Amino acid sequence: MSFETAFERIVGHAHAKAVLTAALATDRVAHAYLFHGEAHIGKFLTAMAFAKMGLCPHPKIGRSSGRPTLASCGQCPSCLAVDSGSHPDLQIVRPDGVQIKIRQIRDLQNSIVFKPMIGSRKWFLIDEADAMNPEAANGFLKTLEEPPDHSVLILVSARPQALLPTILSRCQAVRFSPPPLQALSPWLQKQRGLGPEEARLLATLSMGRIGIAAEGDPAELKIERDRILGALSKERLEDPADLFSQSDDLAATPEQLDRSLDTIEIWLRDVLIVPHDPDASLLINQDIPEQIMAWGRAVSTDAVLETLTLIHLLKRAAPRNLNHALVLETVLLKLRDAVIGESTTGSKTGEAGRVRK
Amino acid sequence: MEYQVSARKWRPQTFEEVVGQTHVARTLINAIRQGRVAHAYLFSGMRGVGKTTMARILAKSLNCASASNEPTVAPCQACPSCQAITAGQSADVIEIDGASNRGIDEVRELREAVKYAPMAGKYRIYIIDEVHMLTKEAFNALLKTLEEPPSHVVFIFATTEDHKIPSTILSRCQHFRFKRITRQAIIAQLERIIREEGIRITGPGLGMIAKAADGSLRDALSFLDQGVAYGGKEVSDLDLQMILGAAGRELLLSMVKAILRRQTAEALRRVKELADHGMDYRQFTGELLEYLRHLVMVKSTAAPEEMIDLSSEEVDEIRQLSSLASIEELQRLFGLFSLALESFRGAVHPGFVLEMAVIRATQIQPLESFEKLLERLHLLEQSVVEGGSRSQSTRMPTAVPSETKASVPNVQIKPTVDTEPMSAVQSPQPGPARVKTVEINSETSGGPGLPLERWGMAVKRLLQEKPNVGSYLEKGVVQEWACGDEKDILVVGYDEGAAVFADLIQKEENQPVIASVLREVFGKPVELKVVRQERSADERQQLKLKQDQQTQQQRKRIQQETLAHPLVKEALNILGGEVIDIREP
Repeated sequence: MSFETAFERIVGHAHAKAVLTAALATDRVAHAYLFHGEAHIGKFLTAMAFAKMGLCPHPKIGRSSGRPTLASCGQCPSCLAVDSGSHPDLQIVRPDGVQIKIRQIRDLQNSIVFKPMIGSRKWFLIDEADAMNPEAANGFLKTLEEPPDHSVLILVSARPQALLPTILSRCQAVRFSPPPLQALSPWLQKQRGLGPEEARLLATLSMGRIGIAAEGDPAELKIERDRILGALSKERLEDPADLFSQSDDLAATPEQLDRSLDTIEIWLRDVLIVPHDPDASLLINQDIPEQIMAWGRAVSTDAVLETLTLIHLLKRAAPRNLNHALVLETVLLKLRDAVIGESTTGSKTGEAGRVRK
Repeated sequence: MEYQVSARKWRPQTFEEVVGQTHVARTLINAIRQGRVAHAYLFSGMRGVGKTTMARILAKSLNCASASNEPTVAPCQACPSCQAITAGQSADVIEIDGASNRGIDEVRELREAVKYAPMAGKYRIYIIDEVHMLTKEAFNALLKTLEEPPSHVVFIFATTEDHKIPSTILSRCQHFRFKRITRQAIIAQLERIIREEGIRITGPGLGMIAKAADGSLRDALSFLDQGVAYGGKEVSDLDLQMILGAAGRELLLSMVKAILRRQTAEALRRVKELADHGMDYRQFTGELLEYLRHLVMVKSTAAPEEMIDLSSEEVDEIRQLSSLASIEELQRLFGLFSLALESFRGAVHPGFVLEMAVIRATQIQPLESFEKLLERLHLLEQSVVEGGSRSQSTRMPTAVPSETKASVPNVQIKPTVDTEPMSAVQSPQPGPARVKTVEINSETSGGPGLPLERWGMAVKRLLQEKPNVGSYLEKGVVQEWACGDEKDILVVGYDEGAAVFADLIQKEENQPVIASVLREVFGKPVELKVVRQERSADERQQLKLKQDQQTQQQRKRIQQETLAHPLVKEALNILGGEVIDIREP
């Protein structure tokens, strides 16, 4: 695995980059950081770049618009070692299975006391820090508060609220947020050679999650989205047999289920937004405002909000542990009620009769 | 020396320096002065308020070599003992991480080690941090030692979660609860530090840090460090806003206005703005809630300045905005955004949560207050009871003109069809207490039927909440219902056979629950009068029958509705069965 990491290659996060660069340039690196923000937006990558910069013996120092800038040289043995994942003073802790266990924290504590081998500091990156189980997290507290002088601990988490307050309070929190569209889409054009239209669509569909935008194929993403949204059409919701077979289909694998729920959530969100967004600038499915509008006309705001609450609840209940098809069925049935419920009231009884068979 | 974060660099070294915990410091100082040092202490409190710090200072005081080897309230900081403790190298002060050494084996080792006399100082002091993580066995193994340790041993436990400490441990320790540190105290401490370090931060800037720190000095210092790392010696408010993810006042205000004026599009654009600036939705929602709270304060207290920690101009600004909504409306918004705040937990798209809350807040029709609805209902009932003859004279709140509202400057009024204006407007004055008595007997009970239905509801609720009390009520029969402006009077009869229940109902201990349920169901206080019924068995039977009939009808209706539901039909079609029973969930 190679990390081509340097701050200037990371899109967005201007604030985080500025804070971290300033800390290195003025030699005020805190002993513990927490990088938090939504998933797939480049937190870990930034942490790697930060460590690389801190380890590099000949960083390029410059100034731009009054603030110091710093960059790892990218060529010295230290930088190359970081890129190849073999730097002795950079250690990465990741969940073992689904948790980070106390054994892993103890290993870290054993190795943190030794002085760095070639760099000036020892760096520890704890990815998905929220996966620490309670024993590990509590066992980490003392080290996190007063580690040896030469060490820097960086916790990375997409769910900081799942961390103990005592952990949070011991770290300097650096917030990451999805890069704005204006930044992401030119980056995609440059980085991946996409056309402006494609880049824009990819940037919105990925909602700024660079991890997804950097790898996804815009055409494929679109096809997949349209397939999932197809299930929400009135005709298909009305046919119970179709509804059930679709639930199986759209929840075939855990990943598929996640994607389906996500796509439906985004769709419903767009449905609610579209009446208040005349120039379609807030929409995520920016390419199909008319469709959103048309679908939205047939359902009540209340019903959509209710469905969104349901989806939120399901997502919180760790849908991967539930019966996948059942999860999606619940959502589709709710939508079916919303769509049919609305269209039958106040319309011709004949139509209602047909709907109800 | 390597750079140290402020929380470590400025860790207090004397009792006086510890911020905001004078109640603990004073007790400890007096204990030392009087030579009454306990052998076990427990320090509990939230993160970053000074527990470990206080433990270390206490250790220093006990072992300081300068004052003829007696405990002192002002450790010298110069003797070998003090310096060793500061550096964390003292052989007599053993700091144990309770979370890492949590098993019974570690405690056994500790028990062995306790026996040995201190090396240099007078005491051997064991500081066990995060003590709540010890296992149950470890705690129990510690009990005997903790009760009667050798005279040279002092235990100091520190924890953020004292509820996890077994009571047997608690009762063997002197327990000190550390307080959260007030904003003022945090600001004062920050001011001291920035003065010493030659850093410049404005007053509002420090206020922002103190607010975000939420009672923890360590958090405050951590924010300060970040500010200094970013801005250097001169940290601007803007820098701090960026670091704290705090939205500027402008943005917050324009959001509040958009919500109160029900401008959905405007409010949604504000959410987008938050995202574009990479601000924290959660925190913003928290600030929004605080603002709503201020609005309610302004509307409901005479001197809101005391309740609101803001400058008088800002309070005036809040006062102006407060005319845009009624208290009920503000309460509703508060509930709605509180719910949103909770939903952020585990949300994959936190932005959506705020967007949905904003749409809910601006789209859903303003609620009419519960009291008003009930009042209307009562009036309606009365007019029915009186056969419509007096209904012309009764006030119908819907008829209240809404023009008064329009005179408030800058208010957009959404014309609503049948709701009353959310009221800053005077609600109709209640007339002189009028009590209309409705006799529920064979002649009129066919009329409203409403009190009976509500009575049924109340009994049902009680049966759920307090089955025994509910069952006493069930035996009674409503005889009379008097509807008043202030309260209702309900007369319930019990015949000779059920007299025992009448007594039970009147028991003191059952009163609160009955009153609260009745109040909820009827919407105002209800006085329950219990009488012995002198009716003939026949009449009783009839009334009982009537009540039963009503529940029967209800059941029937539910049954029909259920059977008519398309999903049920579909299920019957597919599965080919028949419906035997329908139950409420």
